[in-house]
Amino acid sequence: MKSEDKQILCSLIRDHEDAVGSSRVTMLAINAFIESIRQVRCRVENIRDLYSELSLAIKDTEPKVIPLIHLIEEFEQEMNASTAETTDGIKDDAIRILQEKHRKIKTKVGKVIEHGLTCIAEGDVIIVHTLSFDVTNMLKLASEVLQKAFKVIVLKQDLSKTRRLVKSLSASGIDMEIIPEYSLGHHIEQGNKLFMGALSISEDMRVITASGSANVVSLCHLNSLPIYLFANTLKFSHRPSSQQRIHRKVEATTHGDLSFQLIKHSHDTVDLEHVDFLVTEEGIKDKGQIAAFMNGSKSGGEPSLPG
Amino acid sequence: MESALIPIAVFLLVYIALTMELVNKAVAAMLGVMILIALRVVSEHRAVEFIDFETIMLLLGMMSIVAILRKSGFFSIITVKIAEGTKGSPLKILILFSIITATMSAFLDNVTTVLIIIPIIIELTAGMGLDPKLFVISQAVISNIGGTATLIGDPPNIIIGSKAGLTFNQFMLNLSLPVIVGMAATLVFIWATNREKFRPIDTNLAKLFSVQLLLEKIRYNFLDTRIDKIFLAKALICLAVAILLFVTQTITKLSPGVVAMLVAMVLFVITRIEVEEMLVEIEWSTLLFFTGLFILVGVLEDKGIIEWIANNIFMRIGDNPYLLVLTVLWVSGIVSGFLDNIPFTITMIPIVRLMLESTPIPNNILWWALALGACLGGNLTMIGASANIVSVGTAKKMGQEITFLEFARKSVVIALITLAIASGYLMLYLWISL
Repeated sequence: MKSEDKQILCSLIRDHEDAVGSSRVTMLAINAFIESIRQVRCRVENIRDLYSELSLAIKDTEPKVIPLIHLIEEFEQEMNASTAETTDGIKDDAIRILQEKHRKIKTKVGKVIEHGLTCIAEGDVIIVHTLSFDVTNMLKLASEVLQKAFKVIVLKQDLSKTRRLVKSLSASGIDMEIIPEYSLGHHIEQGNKLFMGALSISEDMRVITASGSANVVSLCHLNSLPIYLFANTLKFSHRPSSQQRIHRKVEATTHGDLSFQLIKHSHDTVDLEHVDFLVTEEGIKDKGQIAAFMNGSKSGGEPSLPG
Repeated sequence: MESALIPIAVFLLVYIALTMELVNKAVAAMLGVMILIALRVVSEHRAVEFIDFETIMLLLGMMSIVAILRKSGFFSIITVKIAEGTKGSPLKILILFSIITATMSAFLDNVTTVLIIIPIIIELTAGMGLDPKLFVISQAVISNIGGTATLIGDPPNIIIGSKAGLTFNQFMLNLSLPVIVGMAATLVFIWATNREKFRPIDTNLAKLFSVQLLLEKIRYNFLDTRIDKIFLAKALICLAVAILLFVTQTITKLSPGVVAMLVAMVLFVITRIEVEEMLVEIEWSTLLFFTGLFILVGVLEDKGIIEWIANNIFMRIGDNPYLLVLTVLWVSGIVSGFLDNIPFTITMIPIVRLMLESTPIPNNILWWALALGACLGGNLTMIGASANIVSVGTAKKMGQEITFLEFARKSVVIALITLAIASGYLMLYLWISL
C-alpha cells in the first residue's frame, strides 16, 4: 500500500472518530470493509494478502481505535482458519466473519445503553462533554421511550463535534443548555452527574477520551460530582496509554498580525481512579469494583475480550 | 452625435469599472445611470422605460424558487446520492457529476449549481487523493455549457429570450443538440488529456475501503439536516409546475417572468416560509446590476449609438449570412471570455436586431449564435463567467487554489472546442434553412 493511501485512510478514520465516536466509527469501518471486499477485483492468490495489508493499515492508525483493532484481529485469526480456495469462497467467508463482528459490537453497545438507561433519573441535570454514540443514544431513549424528564448541559467544543449531539438532543425534545467547555465552573453546581465516553481504557488504568475531558473530569471530581464512564469491553486495551498513539497536530495559525504554530492533540488521558461508575455491557461497576473488574479482564484476557 | 459623448463616456467608464472590478458591479451600473440622470442626458421617467421587467421578474422568481429548494435539502440529497453512485470511480465522478451539474445549470442557475456541487466534489476527490482542481474546473465549464441549453439556464439567455421574444421550447429545441455534443466533447477531452487520473480503483482494496468511509463522511457532513418531506414535496411540485408552464408557454401565453414570479409567490404561501429569511438569499445586487445596464444600453440606443456601431462595425462585414452568424458567434465568444457576458449581451441585442433588419436570417439563427457565443465563450477564462469565479472562490476556501493560468490551460481548449462545435451546428442549420 502506498504511503499516501495509508495517510488518507488514517486521517479518515481519525476524522470520523472525532465526529461520531469510536463505537460508531468501528461499525462504519467494518461496513466499509465488507463493501470494499464486495467491490474488489483480484486474483485468488492475492486476495488474502490484500485483506492482511488493509487490516494492518487499520490497526496502525493514529490514534489507535481499540475496538476496531480488536475486531480486526479476530477477523484475521478467523480468516487464517478459513479453508476456502476460490475468490468468491474467500470473499464470502470474509464478509460473513465481518458481519459477525459488526453484530458483536452492535450487541455490546446496545447492552451498554441498556445498563446506562438505569443511570438516568427523573430531574437529573447531566453534564455531557464527549461525543459518544452510546451516550447520545442513551439520552434519546431515556427521553423518547422512557419519557424521563431530565436536563442536559452540553459542553461545546468545536461546533463540528458538538453539532450532531445538539441536533440529536433537540430532535428528541430534551431540555438542554449549551455552554462553552471552559465555562463549566459557572454551571457546575447545577449539574448532578457527568456522562462521558471513551476511545479506549489502557492497561495502566487511563481513559483515552476526547480532547478537553481532562479539565472537565478534574473540575467535576473536585466538586464531588459523580462521573459515569460508558465503554464496552472491546475498548479495553492491552497496552499502556503511552502506546495509544494520540495524534499530535501542529497547525500554522494566523490571527490578524499574529502568526504562530498551534499544537493540538486528538485526545486526552484521564485517570480511571476519577471515574465513579464504569458502565459496560456486563453491568455497572462502582468505584470500589472498577479496579477488580479491570484486573479480572486483564488476567483472564477478559471473558469477551479478544486477542 | 455630440449629445452621445456623455453616455458613451459613462458607458465606457462603467465597463472599465466592471472589468477591473473597481467597485461592486451593481454600484457601477447604478452610478452610471445616476450620472446620466443628474446631467439630464435622460429623465428618470424615461430611464425606467428602458428596464426590461420581464427579465427582472424571471430572475427574481427563479432566485426565490432556488432559495426555497436549497432550504428543502433537495440539492444535498441529490449530490450525496450521486457521490454514492460513483462508488469512488474517478471516471464515474466526472461523468455523473457533469450530468447533474449540466442538468441543474439548465433548469436552475449556474452559480447555485456550482455552490452546491464544488464543495462535495472537492471533499470526495481530495479525500481519495485525486486532484480536486481538475474536477473543479471541469464542473465550472460544464455548468456554463449546461446553462446554455435553456432560456432560464444562463443570464444571457434570459435576456435574449425576453428581448427577442423567444420561448423556452425554442431555446431547448435549438440549443440542446450543440450543448449535448459540446458537453460530450468536453468530457472526452478531459478524460483523454488526464487518462492517468481516471484509472479505475476496483483492484485497490485500501482505496475502496477509504472511499466507503469517505462517502460516510460526506453523508455526515452534507446530510445532517432533517429533511421536511412535505416541504420538499411542495418545493418539487412547484418546480415541476414552473417547468411545465415554461414548456407550454405558447399555449398558456404566460411569459417566463410571470411564470417564475407566480410560482415563487405560491411557494412562499404554501410552504409558510419566513419571507424575510428567504429574501436575504436573493441576489439583489445582480438585479440592480441588470436594471442599471438596461438603462445604460437603453440610453445608448436612444441616442443612436448602437445603430452607429451596428452600421459601422457589424454591417461592414457584408450580407453573407454565414459570415454574419460566425461573426456574432465568435465575437460574442471571445468578448465574453474577457468581459462580463451580461452587459455584453444587453449591448449586442439591439445590434443583432439591426443586423436582422438589414439581412434577415431564418429560424432565429443569429439569436442562437449570440446565445451560444455569450454562454460558451464564458469558459475561455476564469473571469469569463460568474460560475467560474464562484467555483474558484469556493475551491480556494477549501484549500485548493487555482491560478488564472491553471484554469486557462484547460478552459481555453474547451471553449474553443465548444465554439467550434457551435459553429459547425449553426452553419449546418443555416444551410438547411436557406
